[in-house]
Amino acid sequence: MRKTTKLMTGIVAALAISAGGVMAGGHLNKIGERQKAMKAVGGGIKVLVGIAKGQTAFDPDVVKKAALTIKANLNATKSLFPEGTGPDSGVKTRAKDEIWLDMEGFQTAMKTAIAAADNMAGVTEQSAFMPALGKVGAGCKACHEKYRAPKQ
Amino acid sequence: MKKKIAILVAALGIAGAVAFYFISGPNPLDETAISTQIASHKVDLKNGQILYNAGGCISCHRPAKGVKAQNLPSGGAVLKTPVGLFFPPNITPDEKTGIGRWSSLQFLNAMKRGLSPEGKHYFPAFPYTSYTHMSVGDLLDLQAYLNTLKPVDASENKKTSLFGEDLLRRGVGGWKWLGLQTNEFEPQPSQSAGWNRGAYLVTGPGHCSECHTPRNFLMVSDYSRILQGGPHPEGKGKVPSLVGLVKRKKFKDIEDLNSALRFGEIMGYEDISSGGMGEVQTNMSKLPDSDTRAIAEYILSFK
Ligand code: HEC
Ligand code: HEC
Ligand code: HEC
Repeated sequence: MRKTTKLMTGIVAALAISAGGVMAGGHLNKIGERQKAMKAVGGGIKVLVGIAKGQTAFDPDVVKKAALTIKANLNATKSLFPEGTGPDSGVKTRAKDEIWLDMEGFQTAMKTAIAAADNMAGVTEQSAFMPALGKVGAGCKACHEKYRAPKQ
Repeated sequence: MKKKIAILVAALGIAGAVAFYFISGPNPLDETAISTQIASHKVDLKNGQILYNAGGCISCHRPAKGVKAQNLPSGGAVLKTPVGLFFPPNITPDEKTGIGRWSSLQFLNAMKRGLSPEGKHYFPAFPYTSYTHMSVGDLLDLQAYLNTLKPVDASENKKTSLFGEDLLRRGVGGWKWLGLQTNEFEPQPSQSAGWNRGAYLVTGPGHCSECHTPRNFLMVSDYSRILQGGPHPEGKGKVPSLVGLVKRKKFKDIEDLNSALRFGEIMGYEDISSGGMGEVQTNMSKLPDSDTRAIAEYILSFK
């Protein structure tokens, strides 16, 4: 009985410590994770812009793939902005305080952009492509304008 | 001896105060010289609208969140500056709370001299420091365009209230006397028409230097280092340099930069959204293509 109590305490303590470790480490890791996801979003946009500029031909399958990359990665970032990962976290980030001052507005901007990517994924006609791209771009811009600091 | 010094110091103090009083007083436009220009001007509303967009008036004079007509410059949204919080006023033609009853001369004095109809100094958070370089004709067209907008009653707006505001405004007068250059833009005959148009839009209405040009010790744009990047006017962070954009592989050519100014993130240009630049770009997307192209030509001439 005594032994099991000790063992239990030991396990609980170990769990608590490792959980704390994951919290602290994972917490700041989230900054790197979301930057990686945003880079992938940027990669998706490049493919679409290539089509818009006429550098590559319009192909619904390529459009769909790029749009779904954008959608999936934006979705992934939703949970990657926990409290304490802003400009004062000590890790280099362009996320502005405004995100946590106005989390509702931030998540709304996220939803709008995701919906625009979703809409793009369904584009099969070339005539619908530019208007759809306008919506996606406006989605990125609306959020970066308010919630992301300049590069420098 | 001590007494003499005390008297001298007091005298200097009074002289200084008197000098400050005169220096910090209003320095309006010469009414007789300008009234003939006003009288002979033929209004071009289309031009006024271009200048409204180039000037980005809506970026600062937008209404607070929640007000319905977000596209009218009825003021009230907060503008953060190192001096404090500003609530830019209503510039729709409402007679009571806007500028509908302003004379041409009053409007010109605001835009070219930073002076209110009562002779008070505006803070340079209102970029008259750039608008002063605009031509009288363009400013009259701009005023005429503003007067075609729907008047909005802004009596509910928050108003700017700074600590020691009256004295600070006199201080702005002193600062203007020291540093404000009010020369009108002059084209350079050796350059192309496009370059000159771009230079005018960037220097005057576009007020790009307010963010992209570093400031000297008087806190005015240091044009000897034009567009080399500066501190952000809101007090935090930096604004990038616009010199050597092609060499630094930011943009390929005039066409490429023009496309960035017109379309921004819609065409994947990603470094043109944050820190207030997104609003500037939105405003520029409303300009004629020839104007954004001219801006691109001028900026890329800084190799
Ligand atoms: C709801 C807000 C939001 C939306 C929508 C959004 N972004 Fe971002 N993006 C951010 C934030 C915040 C950062 C800064 C992250 C950091 O540094 O921690 C960022 C960073 C980036 C980066 C820089 C990544 C790096 O670190 O190198 C790219 C590229 C990017 N976003 C592209 C896009 C594109 C393209 C879209 C539209 C398809 C988009 N973003 C939509 C908020 C958003
Ligand atoms: C309110 C301040 C502000 C004003 C006014 C302003 N800019 Fe900017 N500009 C910025 C900031 C901040 C950035 C960086 C944005 C980012 O990193 O997302 C920028 C970026 C740019 C870039 C991209 C630079 C690069 O390295 O890719 C160009 C081009 C530009 N601005 C042109 C202009 C022009 C032309 C004007 C005048 C019509 C202007 N800007 C007015 C703040 C401003
Ligand atoms: C960068 C922000 C900014 C921009 C852009 C801007 N303004 Fe303003 N403006 C202000 C601020 C702040 C004030 C109030 C200054 C003060 O209280 O000293 C002001 C005041 C004014 C006033 C005086 C109004 C009154 O009731 O006393 C006029 C007129 C005006 N602006 C016109 C314009 C026009 C026209 C444009 C576009 C061409 C413009 N402004 C663009 C910030 C701005």
